[in-house]
Amino acid sequence: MSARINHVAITSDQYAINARFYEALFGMKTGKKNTIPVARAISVSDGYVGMTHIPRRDGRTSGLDHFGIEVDDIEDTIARMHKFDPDLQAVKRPPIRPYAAYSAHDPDTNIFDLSQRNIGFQKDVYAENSENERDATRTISHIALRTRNAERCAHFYAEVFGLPLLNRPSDDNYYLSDGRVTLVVIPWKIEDYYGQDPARTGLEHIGFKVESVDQVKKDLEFLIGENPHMHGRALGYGSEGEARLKMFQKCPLGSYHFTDIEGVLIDVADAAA
Amino acid sequence: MSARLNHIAIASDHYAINGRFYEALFGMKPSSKPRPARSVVIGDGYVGMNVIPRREGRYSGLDHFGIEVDDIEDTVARITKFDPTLHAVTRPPIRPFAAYSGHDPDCNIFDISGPKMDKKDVYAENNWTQPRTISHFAIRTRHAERCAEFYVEVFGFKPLSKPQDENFYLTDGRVTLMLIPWKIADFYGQDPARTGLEHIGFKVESIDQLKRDMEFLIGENPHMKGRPLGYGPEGIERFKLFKKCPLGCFHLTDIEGVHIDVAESEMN
Repeated sequence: MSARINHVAITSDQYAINARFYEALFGMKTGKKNTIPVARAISVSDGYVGMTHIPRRDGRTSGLDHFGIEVDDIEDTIARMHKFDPDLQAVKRPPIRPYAAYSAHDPDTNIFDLSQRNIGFQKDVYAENSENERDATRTISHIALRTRNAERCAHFYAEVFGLPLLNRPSDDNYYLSDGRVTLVVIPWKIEDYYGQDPARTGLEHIGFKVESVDQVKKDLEFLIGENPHMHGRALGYGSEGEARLKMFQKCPLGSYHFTDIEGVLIDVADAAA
Repeated sequence: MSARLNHIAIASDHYAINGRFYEALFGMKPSSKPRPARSVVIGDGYVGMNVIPRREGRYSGLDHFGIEVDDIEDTVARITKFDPTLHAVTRPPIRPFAAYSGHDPDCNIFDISGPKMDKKDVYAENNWTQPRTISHFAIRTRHAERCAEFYVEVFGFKPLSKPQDENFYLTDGRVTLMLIPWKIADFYGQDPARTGLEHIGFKVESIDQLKRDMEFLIGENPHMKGRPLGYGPEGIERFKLFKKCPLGCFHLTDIEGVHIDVAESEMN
């Protein structure tokens, strides 16, 4: 069994410009053929992880929405989920989706998509991502999930998907890797939100590894000069903003912190680090 | 012990116009001492609504709700008695409503306020009557029954006779907290929504008048238009799920996209 953490979805009222932000700053690419209709979402990719920018629907929240895992055998994966906990269920996705055949959830109800490669289901960047297209210099390195029962969720991802747990740094988090992308499962504790509004549980941030953090900073400045709409959100302002930034900065996998246009938290680190 | 469901918070990039939407359509009133750089705080005479500028890294939409209790310390003790792993945290003192934030067994976040604390904004002034008022908050959550037990035991809310559905209806005597079981199977044909606050409901003097007022407002200001509901196969599925709430019969969204259902007063 092998599993790849290779999908992340962001819902946004500014989904089109947000997709362009990732294209412009991180060099992510849109699909060339069999793309989803232009009135729907926009998918971009780093050659391994596809990122789908979804127009926000009525009644739904915006921001990081869900992630996805590609497996060898979906039926076997769903059976493993049921073996782990018979209460965990999956539901089929509408067929127009470029990535997923099913949506499911972990023990804390964090939602993820399930996909299977080479059965003719995937479209757009998800059909084009291949082992040969890994020459991008800026790639998604981790997806961070803050959830209440982090240990149980980590065991879920390890047992169901065979994602090995990495040696733990000196913190409470769980790090699971597919060999390229790390799923960071961070314990959610309301006490961590002293001095700020408690954030709900769920996906918290994404991380990139880049050829040079300094170059990313320069590119960001250049992009804002080219197009003032390429400016992310202010980080670290006011006492509550400082508290939020401090909490974000605890992730040991990133060294420079900013947001996309939507306000999604992003940390980056040098690939060599 | 008595508890009041009297606070709801919406995070939005369009927080200022969203606050005006609730003022314009539902007659909610702002504080006499507003703090313009912070949230928009409005009330219906009982429930205060904070429309919060969305912070970086946070989700937009319905964010949390709040409960006023007689005795905060006793409430925090009851939470811990119900489940020792449940905790509360003190809130920054600038907040107009809450002294603490806590969460239920499914991690749905709520604020806790006490009658003696130094309330600000509409929370210090909520004492008027008006024809359009908030009637219910709906939470869709995985362990709805356990969460319902939590709110009954900790806050003393009264369970209402169950209609013919799986939901749990708890009342403070005026506002209903509705707990809907979240099941991924309910999201066939659409993107699964995460668990948490799902919609709010109003009771109004006349739905026909509300519809006319909505049309008038959009004519006055095109930015007062909410989001389209029920378009496309996935929109139809979302709308069907939303319409299962038996406490509302007319459905709309605010500017932010928050689902709102309304019913005439005598229906509640």
